[in-house]
Amino acid sequence: MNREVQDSPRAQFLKELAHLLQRLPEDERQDILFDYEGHVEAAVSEGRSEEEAVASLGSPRQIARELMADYYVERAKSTRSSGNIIRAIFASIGLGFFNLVIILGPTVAVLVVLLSLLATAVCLAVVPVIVFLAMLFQHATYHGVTPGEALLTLVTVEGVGLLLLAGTLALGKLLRMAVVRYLAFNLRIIRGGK
Amino acid sequence: MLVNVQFKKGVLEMCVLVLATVRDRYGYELVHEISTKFAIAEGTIYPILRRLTKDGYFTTYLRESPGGPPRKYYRLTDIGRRYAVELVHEWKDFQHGVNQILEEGGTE
Repeated sequence: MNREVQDSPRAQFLKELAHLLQRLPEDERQDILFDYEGHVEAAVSEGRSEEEAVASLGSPRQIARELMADYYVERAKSTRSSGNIIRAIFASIGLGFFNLVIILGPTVAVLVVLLSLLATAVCLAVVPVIVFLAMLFQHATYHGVTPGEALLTLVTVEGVGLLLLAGTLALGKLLRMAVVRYLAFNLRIIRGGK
Repeated sequence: MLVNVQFKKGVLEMCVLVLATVRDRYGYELVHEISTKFAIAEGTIYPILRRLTKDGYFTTYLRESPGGPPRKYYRLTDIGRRYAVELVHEWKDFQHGVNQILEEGGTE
């Protein structure tokens, strides 16, 4: 008797929906399930079959995708953290709300620029150290350059490298803020809200 | 693709709000009214109702139903009513524009 109830189309649907909505807070999830249970109940009391009523609801996965996206967008509205905004964007992309290129394009461009600067900075900061160690321990000499001149060059390059490193990190912070603002702007325009 | 998704959602929002201007409605009632007029996945109405309620266009309350579990009713708020009017205006403008294009295009 119990097993029959477990297998009912209604129970299956609600169970799957509940599973897909597990990241929602308990009371929200229950509220949503109440809506769908009520729907099936109303349909059945009208004389529709439970199977048909459940089937006409559509796929639980699509419904859950929409509900989760709404949830993330709502959260991004109240707390504008970069994490919330990124989650909301990706959930909305899954629903076809955003053109991936418009969203990812600038983000990837920024990342590429930052990574190139970082790579350059790291090279400039690391190479002088290696050369210096070679001079020290392997008594490396360089034609037409006195040790004093070599050392000066190394220190200069090292200095530039460290400055570039510091600059890149600061730029990274700035650009991250800019990208998040850009994403938040897109979210506001496309998904609505303040 | 972007316009399509938003457009459908917008139309369904308008339908749901306008239906509630006549009287308070419960979820299934709204789904039924709409699905008899054009094809929709009935499950997609509830997230829309949820969103509209969260945005302040609806308030909800429970009322006993004859011989069944209590039903959640949706009632338009003042801003909900204004929003409904606004959406209908937009829709009518849009309709008018499209009809003009179809008429002019048809006589080319």
